Amino acid sequence: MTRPAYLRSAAVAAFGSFPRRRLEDLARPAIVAAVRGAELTPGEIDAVVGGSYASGALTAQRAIRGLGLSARPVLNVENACASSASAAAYAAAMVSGGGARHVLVLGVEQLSRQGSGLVPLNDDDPDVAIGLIMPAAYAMRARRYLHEFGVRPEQLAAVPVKNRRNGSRNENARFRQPVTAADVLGSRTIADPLTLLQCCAGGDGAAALVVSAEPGPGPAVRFAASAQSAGLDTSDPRDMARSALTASVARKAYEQAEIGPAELDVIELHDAFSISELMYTEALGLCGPGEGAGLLERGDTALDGPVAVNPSGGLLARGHPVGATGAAQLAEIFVQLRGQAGPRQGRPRRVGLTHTTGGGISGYDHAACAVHILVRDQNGHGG
Amino acid sequence: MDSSDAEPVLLGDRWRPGPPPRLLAGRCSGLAEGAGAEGTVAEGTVAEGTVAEGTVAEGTVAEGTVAEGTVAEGTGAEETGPGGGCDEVFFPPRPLCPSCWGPAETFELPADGTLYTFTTVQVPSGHAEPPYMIGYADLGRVRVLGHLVGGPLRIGAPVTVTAITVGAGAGHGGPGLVYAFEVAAP
Repeated sequence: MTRPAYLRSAAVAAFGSFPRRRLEDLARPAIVAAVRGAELTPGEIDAVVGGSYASGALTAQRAIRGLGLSARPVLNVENACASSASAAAYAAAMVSGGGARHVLVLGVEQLSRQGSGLVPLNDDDPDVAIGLIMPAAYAMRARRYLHEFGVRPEQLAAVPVKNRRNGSRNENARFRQPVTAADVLGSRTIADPLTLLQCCAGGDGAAALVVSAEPGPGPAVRFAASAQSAGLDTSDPRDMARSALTASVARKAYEQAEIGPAELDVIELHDAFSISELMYTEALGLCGPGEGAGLLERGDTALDGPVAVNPSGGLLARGHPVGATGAAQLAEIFVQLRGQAGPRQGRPRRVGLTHTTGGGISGYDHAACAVHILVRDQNGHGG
Repeated sequence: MDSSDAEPVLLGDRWRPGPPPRLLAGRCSGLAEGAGAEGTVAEGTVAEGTVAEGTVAEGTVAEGTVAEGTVAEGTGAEETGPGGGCDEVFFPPRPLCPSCWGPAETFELPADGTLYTFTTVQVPSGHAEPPYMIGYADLGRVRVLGHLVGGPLRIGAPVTVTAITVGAGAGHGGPGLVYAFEVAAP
């Protein structure tokens, strides 16, 4: 018998570039705000599940130092971009299965100390050895997508324009300056057709969640689905204009939740690059293949649209401290569903989805993908 | 095409150097014989002839009829592919068929293919100096990433496998010979 798991509280620390801070100083504001927001004491947290990608060994243990959260199960999850989204899925399973009552999920990353602006990849990967970097992988997807669907580069540029506009209302976003399509297309080329403003920045950041068997104070937000999967390792020709992994994980999540894409009110999805948002709105079933650009142009995914996509500003505005992103996405959906998103709260929202995917390794389309569906319970406890 | 004096050779397990260079892929050469199958293939020895004749039934089936995980252990090989095993083809070569865990063998991919997608990278990757062109080419049944030369680059362009020297950076400690795809002029 399983029981519901609730997202009891969530908090995001400012994202940016903080090479001189210690990891625990990055994480502390988010942890403290999340545990306090849950109206719990550190002693009531049964377990900690951390998600990080490249911040060194035992990241979670280092990040919780000095907060009275040690001497209990502490687990580190590394799943590239989906690290803390995977950690949240594991926490929800722990709570649902009865193994824990309150679990702290911590997404934290500090990439600024690593020098390059590029996300570090494994040297022994054959595609990486050729010179594949993440912007190049998505540039090749974009090239194919534009070719197959007759989409124009200006339509790609509309993604960062929307998301930077949303991010200008998010005090935790790394980039709060709105940009125009001309700015986007005029920024320097990274890997054609992608320009700088169509690529997210790595950097540093932290977000923390309390996943609990009982909702805390305020409207109850429940995990209706938590699905995750590695991509398919194959040499068969892969359709790079569509995301099969996102589509299959989303399908599992919709089945778990008994909710369809038409019922979604708000989405945080993995817009690591401009092309990503178009492909993922399609793979999540909001529209058909090649129709993502039209969906955006009609305003359907705008802040006040029927299904707001990336109201936080997404990875393009918030920044992408790789392992922290999934928890930050869940934190955004949490405030959106509770009507606490302040200047970026569009219409009232009841059903939200997070989508986190990535990991560039040879043979896989993506290394890992996680999709959560959250629902604000109409008659939930405390709601 | 630079060639002979460049070393180290990069990605040596993926191609056969020398004129003309050809990429090597793997294919299943026999269905797994129960639980002991992996013992019949030593790591790294995927040359032809390592599989005893007669362990695989003859015959072929149409592509795509062997779904992953559907091959029962020790059922013999009523479903066999080009290498005599199941229908799996994979790149780069590996000692075990990823589908049935039967022994695998290498074979040469066609030298000619089609460009599926491409980009020109304008930032340093640590493995190649910008600007450099990479893309996926369809060679037979596999889609392979590689450097591109020639052009102009366009989706659907004919490509031919070649070899180039790249000024590899931190990851390799010096320049080396790699396979690449020569994109034909229109």
